[in-house]
Order: sequence, then structure tokens, then C-alpha cells
Amino acid sequence: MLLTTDQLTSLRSDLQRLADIKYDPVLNELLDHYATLTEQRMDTGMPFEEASKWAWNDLGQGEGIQQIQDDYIANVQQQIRSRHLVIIKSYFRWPTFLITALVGLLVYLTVPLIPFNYVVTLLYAVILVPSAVMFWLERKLKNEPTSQQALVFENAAKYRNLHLNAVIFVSNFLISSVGDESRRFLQIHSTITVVMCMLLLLYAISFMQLLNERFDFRTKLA
Amino acid sequence: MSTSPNSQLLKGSLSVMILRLLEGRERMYGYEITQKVKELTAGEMTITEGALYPALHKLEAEGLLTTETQVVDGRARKYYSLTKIGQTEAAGRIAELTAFLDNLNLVLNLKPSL
Repeated sequence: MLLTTDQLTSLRSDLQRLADIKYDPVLNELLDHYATLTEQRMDTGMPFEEASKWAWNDLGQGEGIQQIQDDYIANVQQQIRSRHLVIIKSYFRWPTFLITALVGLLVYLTVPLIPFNYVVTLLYAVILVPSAVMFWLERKLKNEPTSQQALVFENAAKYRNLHLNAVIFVSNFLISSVGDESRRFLQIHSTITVVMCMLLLLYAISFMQLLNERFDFRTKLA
Repeated sequence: MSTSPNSQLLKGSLSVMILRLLEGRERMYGYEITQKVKELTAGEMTITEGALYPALHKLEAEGLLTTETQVVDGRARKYYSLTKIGQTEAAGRIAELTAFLDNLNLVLNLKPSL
């Protein structure tokens, strides 16, 4: 016996309301299972209400069903972390190291020629631009929500906190350098600052790449 | 899996069972897998949804299974099938489990005099 649209809506509502199932792939998969179990019971002559109750118990009730979603989240997050690590590792190649070292050297030599305020503004820009891009990307992707992307957003939120902390750290570092010998201080520490900025940029870019892949990595891993 | 005494024994072999079932078929969905296991074992073995779906998702993440969704009876149904790697891996894992069971049999059938 096939379920009506209203009955399917009722089953979907059970999963969302009683088991807090919010991720589409899990919801769709469990709805199909729940509906099939209900139909199976209705075929024996049981009314919908009783059949769905029986199916709900057979599925494991609220707690058991929630566990399926928890396992799903853990599984996807594990994949996200693995893929992110692969992306970050791919940046650590000799050409990248060489370019980083050359940029560091160039900055070290040119900093004394640039007015202090410009240098500070530039450093702020280098750090804040990735944050702004991340924020923009997150907002853009939220308009096309799928469950897996929602999980990336969670990671993005964690990353943003990390990034903001880094910005605060660098700000303090720069502020502490203001003084009579600020220029010399900045010159001496410019390489460290640039390396730190480069690492922040690298992390931001890797995250953007991860978001941009939109979980195509599932097939790439295969 | 069910809470029956053999549930612990089944735990480690669930993924191999899924791979074996899919080896002989083009594709299957979750409910179908549970019913097939029940049918093959005459109801002696039941796989709960709480064990089945995490196992399916893990195999999918490992790249051994691929999925396609189709609308059936007004709802989305997710079908699982083996990837090329999954086919190779299935054969290996089945052989491994069979060898393990053979060895286990040898130990369980050990005569006291030995």
C-alpha cells in the first residue's frame, strides 16, 4: 500500500521533530526506510497510525535514529579533515618554500624603504582580506544549503575564530613595535611576520579550495 | 544489528556482508539489504538500521560504494552499488573472512585429546 503525500509529510515531520534529523541525505534515506516499513505493516491491514508507530520502534526510536545522524556527521567531518590535510600537504613543495623564502627576503629588504603606516596597513590587508573572502563565501554558500556544506560551515566557523585570534595576535605584535625604533624592529621581525602571514594565507586558501570543491573529494578519494 | 547474542560476532563482518550482497547485484537500497539478510538467514540474523547506515556511509567514504538517488513512490530512494575498487576489495575481504572462518572452525572443532 503506497503512502499518501500527507502521510509521507507526517513521517518526515516525525524524523525532524522527534529525532532532530536535519541533514538532507540522512533525512531522505531514513524517510524511505521509515515509509517502507510503514507500508509493509499497512499491507497486513494495520492502520497508518499504528503501522508508523511500529515502524518508528523498529527504526530505533528517537535516540537510535539520532545516533545514525551522529555517525553520519562524524563520518563526513572525518572526510573533510582528511581532504583538508591533503590540500595543505599539497602546498608544501619545494617551489612553494622557495617562493616563500624569496618573498620574505624581498620584504626584509624593501620594508625600510616603505613608510611605516603603509607597511602596517598592508599587513592588516593581507590578514583581513582572507577573512573577508571566507565570510563572503560562507554567506554565498548558505543560500544553497545542503547538509554536507552545512558541516563545512561548522569547520569554517572554527577556522574563522582561529583566524581572528591570529589577527589579534599580529595586531598586538605590530602595536608593540610602534616606538622610536619601530622601523628597525619591524625590519628585524618582518620575515617572521611575513612567514606568519603566509601561513595564514595558506590556511585560508586551503579552506577556500575545500569549500570550492563542494565535496567532490568524495569521488577524488575513490 | 540485533541485540541477539550473535550481534557482537556480526559487528566485524557487516561490511563484508554488504559487499558480498552488492557483488551479486547491480544496486540495492538500505531496506532491501536488511530484508535480504533476513531472508537468506531465515530470520536468524537481523541487521538494525543503526548498524547498517553507518556501515554503508563508511564504505561510501572509503570509495568502495557509489550511490544514486531515484524518486520512487513519491520519495527519494538512495541506491548503493560497488565501485571498481569496491569490486576488487569485496573479493579480497570475502576471501579474508572465509579464511578466518575456516581457521576458526578448525579451532572450534579441536578434539580434547589434541
